[in-house]
Amino acid sequence: MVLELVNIRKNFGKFVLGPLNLTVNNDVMVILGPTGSGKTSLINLIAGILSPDTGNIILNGREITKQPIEKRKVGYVFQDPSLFPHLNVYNNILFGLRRKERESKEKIIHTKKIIDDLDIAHLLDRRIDDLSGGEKQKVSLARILVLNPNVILLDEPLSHIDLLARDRLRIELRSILRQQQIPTIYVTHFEEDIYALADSIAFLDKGKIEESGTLKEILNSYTRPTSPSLFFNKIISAGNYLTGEVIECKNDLTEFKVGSIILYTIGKFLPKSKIGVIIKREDIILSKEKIRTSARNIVFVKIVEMVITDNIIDVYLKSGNLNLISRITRSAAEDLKIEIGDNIYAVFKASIPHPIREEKE
Amino acid sequence: MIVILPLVLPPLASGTMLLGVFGPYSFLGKMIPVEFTQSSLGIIIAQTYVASPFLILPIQAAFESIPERYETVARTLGKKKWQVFFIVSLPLAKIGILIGLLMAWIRSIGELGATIMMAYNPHTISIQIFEDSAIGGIRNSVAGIILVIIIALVALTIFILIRRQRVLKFGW
Repeated sequence: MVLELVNIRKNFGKFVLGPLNLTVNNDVMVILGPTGSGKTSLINLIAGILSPDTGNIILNGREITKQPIEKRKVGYVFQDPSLFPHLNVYNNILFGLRRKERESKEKIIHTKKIIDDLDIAHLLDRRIDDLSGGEKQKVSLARILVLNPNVILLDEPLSHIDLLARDRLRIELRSILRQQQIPTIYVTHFEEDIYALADSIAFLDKGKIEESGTLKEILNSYTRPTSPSLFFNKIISAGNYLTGEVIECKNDLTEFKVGSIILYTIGKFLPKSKIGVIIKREDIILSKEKIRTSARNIVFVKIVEMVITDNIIDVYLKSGNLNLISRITRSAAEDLKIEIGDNIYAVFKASIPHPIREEKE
Repeated sequence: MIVILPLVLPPLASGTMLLGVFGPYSFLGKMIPVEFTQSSLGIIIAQTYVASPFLILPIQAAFESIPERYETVARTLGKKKWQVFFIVSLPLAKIGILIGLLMAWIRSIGELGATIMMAYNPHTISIQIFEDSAIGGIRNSVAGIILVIIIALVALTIFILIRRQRVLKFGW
């Protein structure tokens, strides 16, 4: 399945969304943007709740722009789970199925699998008011998944959920969405959602897409972000995103390989599994000499670029296939007397690379 | 406006108005060979007219209190507009509809003015109490009054039970 938006435009009077062009493949696209940037309007257009003034919405080569909401087979999880209060959990899950479908063996098995995957079998007889925020969102997700939607739209589904449950649900959500293999658009303003869920990112500001690309492209971008939005710049310039293969794990210390470079992180991972880690730019220390230190990660790198913004310098480092960006102050750079082309040591503790997921092959 | 008219007009005036429309010498009365007045049909017309705001207003409020998002969600889940009405809106408004029916019924039992004008006969309980009291004084109408009080208490109990059910179920 491929979802394409071609020159979509919608005028709301004081605010104009678009023209937008966007392609979502069978993976998760996270749409970021400040409040009022048009994120929810965009997914409402895809769902058919709003209709565009101009442009086309194409699903798998088929035009759906003028199709009524109920025929689009779009699975929409709203910010507020909006479960029907007059039905119990099980009937909410089955709501979208026709009577015949409810009785089909295949559908019963499929529904049971989704219920088991989301771990909500114990909730089926409950009333909606008796559920927690996280449970409601799981039921809301189950309600769309049983329909085998063509597209999944998630509008800040974790925003009403407390912090602890949010972390847990995010992990479950990732594994469920990965299984689906259908175009998914996830609207959020949480940085953690991007790292944990995004295959690609689009940044929406004032109704227009300012930046877009895969997670790797955006986070490891060697060019300065062009977006005028501080919000987006903060997110895309926050980290280094690395993927590597786990070599071994001893006492929670995981050794993994990025290209030919060995790095260490904290966490339990199976040998040979692929992991993705985020390293914040500010957490990479630069040293001209090799120092004896408690830090487990010491990498000999070459400075390939230095980008100066006010009193902050982003130092772009390279060693084989490993690219890193370190953020230091101007005075630190002056003390070190570093220049482009210098060889230098990048140092960071094993607790700095933050594992965010096991990577897709 | 039309809905609240029966509430603001004195019942006797409403009855006179209804006579103008359904009376034997009215256009409708001459056209259709049915006895609208002095019959059970006359009672139904008068009571329906007077009690209609008590039915319509709670039902309207019940539908308006349903958050619009439920209907949108139902449509994204593949339901057509008419299906959404029957499987989402109507069940969610059910308690409001029951309250409306009950209130309209209570109002109908107590209705006198418009019914007297449209159909003095056959007697409704209110007309019976009125007549008993006019002929033999209060003492003569005690039986009817007690009956009405019992009906009112039963209706009130049902009303409270429905209200409680609604708050428990939907929290609004």
